[in-house]
Amino acid sequence: MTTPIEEVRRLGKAYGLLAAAFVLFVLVIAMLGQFGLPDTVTAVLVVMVTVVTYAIMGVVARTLSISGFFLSDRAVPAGFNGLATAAAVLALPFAGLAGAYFADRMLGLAATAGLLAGFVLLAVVVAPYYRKSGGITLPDYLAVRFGNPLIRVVAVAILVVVSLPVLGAAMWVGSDVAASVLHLPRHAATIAVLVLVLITALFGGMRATTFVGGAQAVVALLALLVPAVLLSIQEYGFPVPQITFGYADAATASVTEAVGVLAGKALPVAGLDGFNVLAFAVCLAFGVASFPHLVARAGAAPNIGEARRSAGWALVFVAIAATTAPALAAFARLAILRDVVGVDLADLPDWLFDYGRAGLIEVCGAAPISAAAIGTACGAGTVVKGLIPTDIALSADLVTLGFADITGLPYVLTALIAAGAIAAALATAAATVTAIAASLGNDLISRLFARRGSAGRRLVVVRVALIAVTLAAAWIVEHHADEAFAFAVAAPSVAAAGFFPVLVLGMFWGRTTFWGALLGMSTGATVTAVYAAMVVWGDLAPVPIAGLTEAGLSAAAAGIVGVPLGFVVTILVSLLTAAPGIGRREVLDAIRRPSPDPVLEDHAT
Amino acid sequence: MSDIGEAERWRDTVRLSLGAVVALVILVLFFLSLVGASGQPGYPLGLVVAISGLPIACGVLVFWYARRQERIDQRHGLYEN
Repeated sequence: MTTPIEEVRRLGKAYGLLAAAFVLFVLVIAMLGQFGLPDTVTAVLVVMVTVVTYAIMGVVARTLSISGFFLSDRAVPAGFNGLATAAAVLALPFAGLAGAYFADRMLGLAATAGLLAGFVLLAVVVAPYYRKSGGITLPDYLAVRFGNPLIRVVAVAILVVVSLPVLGAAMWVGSDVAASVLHLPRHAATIAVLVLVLITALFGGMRATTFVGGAQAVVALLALLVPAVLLSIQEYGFPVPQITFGYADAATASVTEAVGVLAGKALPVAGLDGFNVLAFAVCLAFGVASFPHLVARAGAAPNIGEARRSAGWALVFVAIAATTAPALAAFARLAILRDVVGVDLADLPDWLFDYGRAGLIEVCGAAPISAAAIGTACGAGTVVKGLIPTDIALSADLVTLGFADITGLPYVLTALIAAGAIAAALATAAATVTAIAASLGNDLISRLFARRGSAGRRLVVVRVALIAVTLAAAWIVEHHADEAFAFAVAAPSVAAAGFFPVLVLGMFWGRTTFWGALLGMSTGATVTAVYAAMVVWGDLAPVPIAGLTEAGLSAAAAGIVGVPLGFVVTILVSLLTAAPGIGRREVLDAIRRPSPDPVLEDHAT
Repeated sequence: MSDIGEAERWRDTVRLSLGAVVALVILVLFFLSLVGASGQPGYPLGLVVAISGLPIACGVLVFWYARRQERIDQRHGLYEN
């Protein structure tokens, strides 16, 4: 009989071997590519071997225990838990960060700083106390802390508003990449992603998302690192793109005209002035420290110290992606200036037309479907002198997804990047759907309406909720993908405004009362979510803030108002209501105390 | 463990947490300040140092904080293990 910790370590080794086998497999496919293996077959092989592996791991990690399903038996070592935590957020740096650096280096750096700072805050002010509380979801933790079921209901509502658009956006990214690289019909790709998300989350819950998420993080990080390292060696003879990208940047510094950027899906790269960039970074930091699916991962750590270190390891793994993104942007910009700008139209690379037909590149405001179409759109001067940088605009998402094509690397790396994008999207989707389903099933139904239900019944309820949420997200992907994306960029702001003030004050200010927390959460989240929704759906122009932003406060940065509002309301209402009683004080002291004894009860039993 | 000892331990914890957050803000501002405007000639040393240095500094901060917190807990007899 092995202990849970021994089991996780054993699986960790097995899964390290799987990662090595995957690298070997990609190398073999690359060699077959040199002997004429068709691109389509290459893509199918590379992508399918990864997704089939995730599906097998998801089934193998199935569990019938509450502790396993909700908390991976509280037995996941810090490094491994950090890898799974990083996987849950990798979709953002994978798909969006290189595009952000391509559009504006300060935006990219600010987003990087926000992400990293968020994990520091998670480690310092949230994760250890969440782990100690014995809660199994963020609403459960708040209910333990404030001792009133109403806060559980409000927290679940905020959690759904925050997480559902993120889930929809992640599933959309997965299905979009799968549809394009595997040449699948769009509906078939959505169904495939839906099935994969279900398989990786339904049977094993957090236990499965731990194991599968770790594998997905490895694939996503390899998919970013390998092309960047290979290009760094090819161009500069040194395998550290985080250093050599500076030479690419220097080589393009003399070009004063910038290549245009079309708005991507993952990050709001357009229309942000200096204030909004800074505010977005701050909101991202507070949001990462408050995202329910990231906070919940602290519960899987074996103890409080490991919960802190989990966040540290997550930071390390996210940093690998975040430091590679600027290299992708610099190398892609150099390749475009070298291979596209000033080149005879007849010699333009094929990828320009391929991505032009897919709507991911514009030249002179039109899709570059052929050299003749470019000549027509740009005029006679271009036919003679070639394109200038400002003629070209490419989707921010393409900087990563099309990197291998743009820089002339072998097609197998395009397939690898696609596999990485699908991995990152699936990991984020599985983590968010598990968080939503756990809250709906556990916090709403089992805790409020069926308190005497057996462990088996609680698991059935959560699994039914998980299926329902996944189907709802698939419906969003099919019918409201644009709205989901537009709102998903504001999700960190809403999470920050809804949860961050109460997480901080609830632990570090003993005078915080239930009513203060409830109204602070409600006000911060509602104001931020309503403002963001009205801005992204066009009902309201961004509101200027005198002296700070004339362009108006972006939806993505709305939390810069919502977070202080949440703090102020929580403090004022707490001071106006009766101080917490001795019972609440004892619960707070117990959460603060780093002893192994649980607070009241461990809800994972 | 007495209530007084527990109160002292919490006071030290708050100081450490506050110190970690202040250090985070200083680190972020410092590394952002290294980055010059786009289009400057030559190797962008400030950008490269910021992009690589910020994650390293943040990682060191988290693991340093975790170690210091455990020392505080041990000093006050409240170490979880």
